[in-house]
Amino acid sequence: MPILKTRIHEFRRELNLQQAELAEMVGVRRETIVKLEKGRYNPSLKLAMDIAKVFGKPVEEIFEFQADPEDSDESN
Amino acid sequence: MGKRVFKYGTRIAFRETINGSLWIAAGAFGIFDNQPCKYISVILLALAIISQAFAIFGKFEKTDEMATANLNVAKAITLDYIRILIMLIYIILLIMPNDIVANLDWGKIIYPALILFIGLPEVITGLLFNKIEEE
Repeated sequence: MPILKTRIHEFRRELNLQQAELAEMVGVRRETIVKLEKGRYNPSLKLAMDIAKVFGKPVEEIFEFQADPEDSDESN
Repeated sequence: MGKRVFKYGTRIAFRETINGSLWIAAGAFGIFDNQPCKYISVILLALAIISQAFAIFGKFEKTDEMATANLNVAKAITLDYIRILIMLIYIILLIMPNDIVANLDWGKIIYPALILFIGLPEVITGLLFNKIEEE
């Protein structure tokens, strides 16, 4: 299963935003932003686009799926 | 001065875990055939109503997509557990000798059993939701 990597933490720091502030701006709980930053939650397309809008960046620049190293080991 | 806004997890705790625990406790006291236990059972059920009312009318964070997703996962897993429990009970009843099953006081068993089956899924759902949120 691909692993989600996000740059939310990095862009949030650039804008000097707290997690709670970003959460309020995109209409989610702070816990959701925490999980997104850790790559532990796959956001809906709408949420991803709302976050991208806040940062003024394309969605692809914020969210990236990387291959799970364990998957490539199994296929070998 | 605004009212305090509680976390969504608190709402689920009151609606599921606490409410369910009170139902199970009420069912446990309902097994005993004496007035004090019946009164305790009624009080516990009243507390369960208060807990549920707080979950409905209290001021909480709005639910969001992750909370909805996590709650759905918790409920799906709970359903699996309850299915297994029902199957186990059925197997036990099938294995037990017929005369024992026939002599069971089903009238006394049904009431607490029903309360257990209301309370147990709620407790499991609440605990699972909490676990999923913290992962």
